[in-house]
Amino acid sequence: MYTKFILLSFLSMLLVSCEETLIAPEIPNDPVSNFEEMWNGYDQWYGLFDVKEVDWQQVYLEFRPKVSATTTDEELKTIFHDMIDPLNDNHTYIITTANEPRIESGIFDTLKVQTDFSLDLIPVYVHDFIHYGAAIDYGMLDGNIGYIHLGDFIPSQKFYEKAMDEIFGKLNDTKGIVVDIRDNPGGNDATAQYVAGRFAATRHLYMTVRKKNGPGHHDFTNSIPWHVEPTGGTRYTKPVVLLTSRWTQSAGETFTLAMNELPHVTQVGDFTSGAFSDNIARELPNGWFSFMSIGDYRAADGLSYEGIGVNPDVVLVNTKEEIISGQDKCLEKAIELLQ
Amino acid sequence: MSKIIFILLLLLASFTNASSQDLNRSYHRIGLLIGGQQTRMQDQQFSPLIHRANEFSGKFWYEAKYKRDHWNASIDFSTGSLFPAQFADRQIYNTTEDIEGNITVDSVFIRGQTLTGNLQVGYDYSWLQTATWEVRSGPKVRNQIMYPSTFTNLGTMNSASLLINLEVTWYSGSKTEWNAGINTPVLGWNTRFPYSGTVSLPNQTLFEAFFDGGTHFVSFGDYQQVNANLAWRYQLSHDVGIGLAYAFTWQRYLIPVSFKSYSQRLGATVDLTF
Repeated sequence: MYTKFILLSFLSMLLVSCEETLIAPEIPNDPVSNFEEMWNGYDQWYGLFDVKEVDWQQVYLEFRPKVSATTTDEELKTIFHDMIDPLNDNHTYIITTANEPRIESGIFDTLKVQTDFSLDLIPVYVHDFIHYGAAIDYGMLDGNIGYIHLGDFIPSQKFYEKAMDEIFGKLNDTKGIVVDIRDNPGGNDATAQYVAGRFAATRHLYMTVRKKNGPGHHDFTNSIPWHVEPTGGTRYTKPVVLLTSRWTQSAGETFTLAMNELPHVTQVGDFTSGAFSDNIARELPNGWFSFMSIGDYRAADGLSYEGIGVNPDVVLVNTKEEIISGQDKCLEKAIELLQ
Repeated sequence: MSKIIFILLLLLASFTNASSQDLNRSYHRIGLLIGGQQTRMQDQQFSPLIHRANEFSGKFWYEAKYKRDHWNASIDFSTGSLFPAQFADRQIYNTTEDIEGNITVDSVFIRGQTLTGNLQVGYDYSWLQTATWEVRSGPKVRNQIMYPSTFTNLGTMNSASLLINLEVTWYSGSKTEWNAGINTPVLGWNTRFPYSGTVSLPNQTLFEAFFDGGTHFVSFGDYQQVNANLAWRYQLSHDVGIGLAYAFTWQRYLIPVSFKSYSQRLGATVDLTF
């Protein structure tokens, strides 16, 4: 039996040495390899070069000469920042493995702290503030107006089915509802579509999506239409005010597009973030992660609002001082509109 | 003289009887394997790095043999920590600042975790069967799922395949046997993330969108996988057998982008025949 074990173990060890043959040679971790992998990753997967009007080949010609075997990590970070900055894309960034901020491409390069909204302030306005799981809070405002805070669209659709059933069961007799997504960083677009459908009476096109399906800059799938249509058991079709901010991102923004197609919804607050597309993470040889948008998302009017955001019907932005002093002007405006 | 002939006849009869019993091996058997597995993978859709995992592996099987017909079913799994060798202790940091200027820094180790499982049923026909050798072959139907949870989406794949199998058994003694086998998928349906690396389709869950958007019918030209195994078994008692088993798998799938992996498993087995 000992001989058999030795024989089988020998076979195992033999194959350990064949990694290069069976898989591939290990990619070197040096500045040039990291630059090439980073540039190639965006070149083959980034879906918004045309929308952003960025010549990625020109970016290569401009920055490749700046990278050599002696380029330090700090220099490489600066080079990467300067390469992606023109993309102006909040879904495009690079995370290093050091304790430092990520390398940003969009508004979050300068917008570091949300100062126009605080969830801690909401109970001042909302009675019987109820936390439903980690993603939803709701209650009643003065004047028989309901309030729903949707923190993200990460949980499953089943979670939202039950949540909205409970919430509408308690808010159905209100004369209006404030839906607050000012700190919603996104989640699953299909879940956001479902939740928007709980406010819909009829079917409306709100978005078309095409995603990269090949390495060429124009390799995309066919455009897929997204409609908001009645979903779930109970629906709420009385007046709704949707509160947004620059921190409303991704699926929070596609939710905004859907809600804006509904005639009884008014958007109040600030422009949304301007980052609609799904994004993916790809690894670099040095262990960093590069994130990039992989799709071309258009609103119902056929236009892309990447880097721009969805503009509200009523533009109103809280200042930091107002929030700290305990006043949420945007929420007060929403209540006023629904009175 | 008559006694000698009588004894010779008895010996001849016993020998013939033993051969008949060997050729008519029929049994039901269940078995359990516990062992370790080593996996290497590179998924160029998400990373140029080779990720490694040392995993715990288990397998449960059932086999039924009646004369030349051999039926088998098995389920196996493996799980372990997955990471590129150069970055085993990599962390990422998230710094947040609230409206009052309070800063919070969170960090998390970003090792992934493999979870691979196979569910398989098959039939083999023993077209060569002697007292010491058996050669059999036949089809298998298998669903394999690879679901590593990592910071990216690398390595995720489901493969529902029809395989062809070939096995050779050498009965080296009255209580010991060696088994070697090889099988490969010839056609099936493979599902990986589509080229974009994300799944999100209207009115569909992520699970539905994954299969809807990333499934391709494949044949040997599109998907190559080789599964080889070598096992030794010792009949410990009338009903119980023990053994050692080695299994090697290599695969290569190029849709939508190159994915290669290999794994090898070494385990101890115990089985019960009834």
